[in-house]
Amino acid sequence: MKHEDEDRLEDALGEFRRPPQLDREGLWQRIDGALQRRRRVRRAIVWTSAMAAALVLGVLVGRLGPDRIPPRPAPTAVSPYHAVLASTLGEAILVLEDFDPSTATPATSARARHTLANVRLLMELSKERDSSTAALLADLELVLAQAVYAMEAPSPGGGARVAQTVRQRGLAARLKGAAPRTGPGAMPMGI
Amino acid sequence: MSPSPPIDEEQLVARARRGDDAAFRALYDLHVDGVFGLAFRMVGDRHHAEDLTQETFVRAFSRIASFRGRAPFSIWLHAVARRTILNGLRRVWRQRRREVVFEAAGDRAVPGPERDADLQDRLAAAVDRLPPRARLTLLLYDVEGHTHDHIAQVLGVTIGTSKAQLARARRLLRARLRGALKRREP
Repeated sequence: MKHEDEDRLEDALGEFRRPPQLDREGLWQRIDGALQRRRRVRRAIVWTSAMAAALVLGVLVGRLGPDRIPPRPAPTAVSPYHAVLASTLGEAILVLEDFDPSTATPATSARARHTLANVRLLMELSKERDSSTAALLADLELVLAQAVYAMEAPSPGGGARVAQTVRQRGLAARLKGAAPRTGPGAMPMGI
Repeated sequence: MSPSPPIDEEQLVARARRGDDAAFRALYDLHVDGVFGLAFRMVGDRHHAEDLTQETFVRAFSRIASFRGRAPFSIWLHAVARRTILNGLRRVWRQRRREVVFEAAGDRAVPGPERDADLQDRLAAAVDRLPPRARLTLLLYDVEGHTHDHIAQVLGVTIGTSKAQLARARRLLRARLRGALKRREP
């Protein structure tokens, strides 16, 4: 009897959750896109670091050199990380402003998914840099994931859930504070 | 039809480390089904499994320089997938704690020819309640047919620990499926 149970469990495990057909090409496009974005950010960070190092070296040489010229204040540059962060937060604002599960199309859903992927990449980069941005991105990831699910699998409570999370997390104000204004309609959300 | 020549994975990895995009694509083609299958069996949702598969390959390909080649690439990639999937499950738990319910996306497992729906549903519920590492060990061994040696390398544990995790998972499953495993009379 026990052997019969074992056999049945083994058979059931053999059939367990057969994966559905995978859109290999579509998934590759997403992976390739994410890799390209990541490479661009890394290249930009390396480039900016090199520029910053050159700037510091220049200042040092200037200060230690025989003909000391009064140093000028260094121009404040926006790092590539912050540039990508600002652009992603701007995208997220637009996604949430336009969010309406009843009128969602594959294009709006893909845009939200794309923004969600960018937020996830930034979460990793922000962990070592800035805890408040990391917390904002974690909350944003949650609300974007809810929005994507609400658009791709509409249900009566989907939109309300997104709005509730936005309210509970105070996301509107935090996003407004963290991202550049995207226009007169920026925030509150269109949900 | 003549069989296609064997693909030299080591060469592909070497080319990928030099930034060859075609090699990345070839490695993806070789391993995507395995990674997606494991992710899907762990989370049971197509979109979530696709996201985890994407994240696994992006992480692995971004860090391919750190792959030293001491173990086969498939084991290293499986280890990256394991970390990504377990992190993904933690994210889902955090979201569920915040009372978020992920709606069923409609892309559920494909039924097999002799699928016993009731048993499969109960099995899925029981597997989902297993501790994550025990669940991963069970799926890698009993469903995907990997050896304990492979699993131990993927999980970064000893072979003995892998065997213990499997025994624990099976014991918990048997206890939770007691009754459901009794064969119904025709």
